[in-house]
Amino acid sequence: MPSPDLSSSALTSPAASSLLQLTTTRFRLSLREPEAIFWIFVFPIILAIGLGLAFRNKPADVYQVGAPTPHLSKSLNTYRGLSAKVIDETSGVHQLATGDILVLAIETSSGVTYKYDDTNPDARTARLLSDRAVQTTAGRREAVDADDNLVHETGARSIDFVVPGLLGMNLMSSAIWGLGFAIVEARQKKLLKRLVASRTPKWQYLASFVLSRLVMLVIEVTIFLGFALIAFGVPSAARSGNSLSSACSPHWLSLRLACWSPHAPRPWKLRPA
Amino acid sequence: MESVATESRSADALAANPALLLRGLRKSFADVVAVDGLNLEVPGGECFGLLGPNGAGKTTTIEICEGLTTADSGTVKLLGLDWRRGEAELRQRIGIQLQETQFPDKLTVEETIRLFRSFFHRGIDVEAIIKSAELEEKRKSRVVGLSGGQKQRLAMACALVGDPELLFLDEPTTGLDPQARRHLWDLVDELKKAGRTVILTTHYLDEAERLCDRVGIMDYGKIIALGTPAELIASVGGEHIVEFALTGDPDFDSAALLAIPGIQSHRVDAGLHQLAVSELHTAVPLIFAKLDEIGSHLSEFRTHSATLEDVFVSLTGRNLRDA
Repeated sequence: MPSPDLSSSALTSPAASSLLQLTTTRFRLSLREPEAIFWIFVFPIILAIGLGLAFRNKPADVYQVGAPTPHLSKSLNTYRGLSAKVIDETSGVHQLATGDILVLAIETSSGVTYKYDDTNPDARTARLLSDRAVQTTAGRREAVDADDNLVHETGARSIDFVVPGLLGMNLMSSAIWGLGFAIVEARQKKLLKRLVASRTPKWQYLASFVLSRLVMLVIEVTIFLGFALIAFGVPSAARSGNSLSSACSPHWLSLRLACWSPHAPRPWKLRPA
Repeated sequence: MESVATESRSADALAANPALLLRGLRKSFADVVAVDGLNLEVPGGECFGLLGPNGAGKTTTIEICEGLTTADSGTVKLLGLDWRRGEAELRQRIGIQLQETQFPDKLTVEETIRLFRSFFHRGIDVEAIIKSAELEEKRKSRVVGLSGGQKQRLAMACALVGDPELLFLDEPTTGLDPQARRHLWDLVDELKKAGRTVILTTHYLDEAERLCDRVGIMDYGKIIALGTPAELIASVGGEHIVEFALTGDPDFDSAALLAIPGIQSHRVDAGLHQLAVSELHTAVPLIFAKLDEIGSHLSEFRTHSATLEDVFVSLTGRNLRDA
């Protein structure tokens, strides 16, 4: 058994402070947990990709319609939102039933008759567009001139709302698992008792969780919002990044820490009953 | 292992203030009395062993001493201080190894020791304590990859890193293989040489005999015997124990054996006769002769030196491990 120099010495290095050591320990433990890394960093990105693809903005629908005569079919095809084919009436009725076409336009002696299912919203839209195409081709003039000014602003898409929601969900779940679960586990393994036996200040133990979570928060928000900005061009990602840097500024950080310290003066007072 | 704090304390001060003083200590859990009016005094520099079967109250007693459990009544003084008024100072001056501590699996040995070192104003250098615990090769290994013995040495290192004047070790070698136990014993020997006060609980009798200057045997929350291992063994009445079993004959009369010079006592446990003998070399031939004379046939016969186990058996009529 060697007898090394076990002479006592005082703590001098700031790196040896118990708050710093506790915080570093919490941070290391988080980073060394592969499951935690997956759920904090990878899972939200997979979810964003999945939801982004599922709810992506599609080009305007083109409705399939039919007409027995080439003349009427040509009239219908003058409108971009319609795709008309020449089809005899019997086949047309069958294709209406099977959903291959939404509207069958039939020329009659008094004009045009549209066959469609009025309980189907797409069929009702196709009917209106078909009639507009036929009337316009026939020479109808609109009473009021109308122009389209199409708006495709980023920020109004589904993914622009999904990203902040996913971010909030991720922050909440990682806080629950990274704080609540970790403390319960430490208690079960009697680590809390061991820390009490070594006179670990309780406020430092809790503050170490808050500080390590704040550092982790900056990393996870940066990665997730960076991905959202690059992959989907989500504008809220850039704005959230600015808000985050403000929230994590030294001023706010010191205020949050002050709230944890048992000796810190409270900036608020309970109103007497 | 010289500590500034220890150096400043003279031998007279230590004599005036025992390292540990318990007076009338009581603790109950519901209707179970775990500690029943315990009195104990451990002078500075002594290695004191608290022995007893599971449930005897050893861990409750030691946790009250460590300030982790509150006693229902009684006085606890460590190094002249009590927990109510001197907790901050006491935590800096004592070291604790709990019965079961699972350090975070994903921390390395060095990181774990560095974390515990940070809780103490003064203490031993991390490098030195790693070397002392013979964990140099495992310094970068994570706790999850350590063997049972290495984990216990890590726990010991964390208990020692504050350079404590008083060290509590709660069953430090439970579940370890013989080699790992010897490593721990060597570490405790080093502490004894350095003049530290060590309070340890164990249910390994050889461990208590090997390490402890004095031993207290606990049963049902009370200390039923107190003294040096040699004194306690001598109290059995014989230095040696003769154990034998007979084929048949449940109505064996022990009076004939007790008449043999040097035989102090006789008891039967699960068909095994046990004699406390002071002069083994003269008593054994007479035992054989006497058994032959009364027509008993031996199926088993062995002798061993008296141990603390025999002390416990003589005091309680039960074996320590069966209790």
